[in-house]
Amino acid sequence: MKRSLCWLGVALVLGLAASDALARGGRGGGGRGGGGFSRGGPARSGSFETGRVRSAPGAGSYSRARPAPQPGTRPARPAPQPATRPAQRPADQAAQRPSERPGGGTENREDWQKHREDMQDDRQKDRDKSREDWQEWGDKHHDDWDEVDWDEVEGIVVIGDDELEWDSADFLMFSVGTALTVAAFESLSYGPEPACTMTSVVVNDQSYYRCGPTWYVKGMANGEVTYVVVTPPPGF
Amino acid sequence: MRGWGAAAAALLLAVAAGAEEPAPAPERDIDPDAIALVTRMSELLGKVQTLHYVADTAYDAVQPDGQKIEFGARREVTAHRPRRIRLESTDRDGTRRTLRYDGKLLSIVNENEKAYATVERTGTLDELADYVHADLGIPTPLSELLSPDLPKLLTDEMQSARYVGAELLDGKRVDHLAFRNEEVGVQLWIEQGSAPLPRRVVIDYEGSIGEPQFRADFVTWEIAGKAPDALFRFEPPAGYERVVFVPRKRTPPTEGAQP
Repeated sequence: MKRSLCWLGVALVLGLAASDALARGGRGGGGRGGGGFSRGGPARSGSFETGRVRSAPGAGSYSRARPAPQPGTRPARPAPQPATRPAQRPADQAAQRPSERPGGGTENREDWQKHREDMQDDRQKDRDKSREDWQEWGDKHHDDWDEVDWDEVEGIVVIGDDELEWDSADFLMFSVGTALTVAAFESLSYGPEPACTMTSVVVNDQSYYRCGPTWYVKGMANGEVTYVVVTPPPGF
Repeated sequence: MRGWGAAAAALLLAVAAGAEEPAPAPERDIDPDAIALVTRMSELLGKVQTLHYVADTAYDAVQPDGQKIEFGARREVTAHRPRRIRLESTDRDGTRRTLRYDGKLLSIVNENEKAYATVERTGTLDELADYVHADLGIPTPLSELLSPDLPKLLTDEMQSARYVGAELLDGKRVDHLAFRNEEVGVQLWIEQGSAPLPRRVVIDYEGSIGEPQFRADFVTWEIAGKAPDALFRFEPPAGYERVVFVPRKRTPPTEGAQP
């Protein structure tokens, strides 16, 4: 739909687009200040256009619709591979749910009661199915995805400090374009297990940060400040 | 016997044919009065050149355990058609951001991180909104509400549009409308009288896990004011760091593309 005055709507989302990382207290560096609550979900979009709603899961809406993390499983494993994630994520099925509810405006109390019960039953099944799908996907693509808390927002993978609990060598291998929250980035060099001694250079008026073989620039993803993995600057 | 056999075969064919027929489309229930009220609101918002509003918004974030946690923010918007807008938001946790666009430069300032990003852009607010949504990945909630295409959207996309009734909201007489399709339920409260402005919006994402809700209460509306150019012009704040916008990925990164 052609948007007119979308900016009025944009205003309503500035802040709504806050990444889950902030909800985890990323700014505090400890990653726990926000109580670990997710801020994602379709309601964050504040949109009632059907198409937008359908696309909402891809905007990170369901990145947390997974079983609770299971700490204590820190296997040595390859670096995260965002590119291998399925295009059609399991949670996307929410947009394909049954639509057998009664037509609007012809309320029949009994029909609606039955409809509500059916919908609740459907939702429970969907929830269970979603968890199973996530588990299956995680098992297939990532040995311990429970621990890796991806926030894929409109194609931007944002990683919080919670994800940086494994061996330091792993998170030096993030793909170009991966974004780290400020807290995650800082934990690379200031965490209990520093991965590197962070250095910085300025090339063409742009500050680059280097941690081991990986280069970052400071960026703004979805209104939030992040550090984005980039290719080395010219001359490096 | 042949007759019975033929009848049974015909019945089987009929049943089979019936099974292949698509399910009938859900019955639609569009109240033209509801659409007319929305159209009136859209026409008003579409013809004003400068507008300003303050809104309190909230939404549910469904947690992995199913609990819905509410987050919210206060938004202040000043728009001057066709190419200027300023948006300020303050989350309940204190995070403050300001977006400015003066027809030439788009900027977003994150005060908490003392950082800003800019990009040169031209075009109308619609075009810029498309850029922000599609390229920068920033959602544009409620944009449909303020679009002149809203009546058509509601007519085309919703299965039901109903007039709930006249109500009193924050001391103002309002018309309460309700729309619904398979995915969402939308409620609008539009002020009665000569200035049919939206006063409250509630969106239920009934097709989503946990059925989260978005709410917006418009605190103030001004549609006859003026907006000085300086309001939309960006000046780098002292002591703030310039950062880059991180655009959406158009294609997945290639395997092994790490530096």
